[in-house]
Amino acid sequence: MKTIRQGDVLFIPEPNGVNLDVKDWKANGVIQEGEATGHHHKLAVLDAAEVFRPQWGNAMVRVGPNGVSIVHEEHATVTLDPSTTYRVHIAREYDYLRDAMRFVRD
Amino acid sequence: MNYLTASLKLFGRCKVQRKLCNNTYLIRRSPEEIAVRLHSTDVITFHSDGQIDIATGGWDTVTTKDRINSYCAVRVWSEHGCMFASHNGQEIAFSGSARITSDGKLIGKDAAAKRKEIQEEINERNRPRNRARYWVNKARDGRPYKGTVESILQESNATVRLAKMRCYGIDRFFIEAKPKIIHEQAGYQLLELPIDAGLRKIRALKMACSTTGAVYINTVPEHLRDVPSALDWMFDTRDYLGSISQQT
Repeated sequence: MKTIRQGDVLFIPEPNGVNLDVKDWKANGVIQEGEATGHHHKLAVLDAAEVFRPQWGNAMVRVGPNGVSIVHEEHATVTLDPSTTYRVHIAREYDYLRDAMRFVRD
Repeated sequence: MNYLTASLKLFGRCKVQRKLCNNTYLIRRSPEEIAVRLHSTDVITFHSDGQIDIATGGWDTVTTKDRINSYCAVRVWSEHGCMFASHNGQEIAFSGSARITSDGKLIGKDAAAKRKEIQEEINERNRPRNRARYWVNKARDGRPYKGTVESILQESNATVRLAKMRCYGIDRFFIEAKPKIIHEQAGYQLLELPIDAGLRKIRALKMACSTTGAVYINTVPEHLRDVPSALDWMFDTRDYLGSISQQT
């Protein structure tokens, strides 16, 4: 199980799995919304995996037994391993004007 | 109070000095002069010819103003740290001391001119702040900057310079400003651009998208020294280059 990156989104496998809250489940399969461009990182097939986006903390993707492809309008498609839970890390950048970290706006 | 009423208060055993209120005394300084002394400063001096001197002695305090206003016909106040006085409809600005002549005329700088001077000083003080605020708001709103890389680098105000960089576009700015390559690994470059005459540096990670070939610049904190640490900071990981299997 290896880390996979698609643009500014990084998928890190969680070997031990994590407890996911059903209220954070997103039916539209969008992992990361493009705030600036409107491009989304989303599941190619909605039934193949579940996306959990809690209000605080990282988004999680629980992949089903057949694996899943993640699509994006700009970047090439990546494939996540079957029966694996991935933690989603969003790229961050340093804002020298505010002297603070912020997440990259795609 | 004037010289006459002051001299009427100095009689009997108090013919030289009489207490008026806290730390304040009426004192006969000479046969022609009576002063109101606050601590060690003669805040008012009445002259026998009707002339009155007021002085703060540099102590432009609430108490000093109160004593002058209480024992003299003149009214004093301060605006933006500058003392003003008015008497018979005439206003003056003064620093330290002022004089009312025997014919009731105040001698000092014209109050309107002083106010204008103060306002100009305030505007001058606020100008850099207003300018910085303008550019920061412009950067936050994402409005473009039409200047050049050279004009950004020549900007003396650090906040304005960073705001201009953001308006210009950090990616574009970094590519055009010819930064120094600090470290290079696995197709990534850690770039450094000195600003503030080298006192401060901006560092960024340059990478190319394997799908589109587009070049991306991602600013990172200036303490990061190589590509792996910059990547780990960027994605909040421990060993990005060692664990990555697929990237697009």
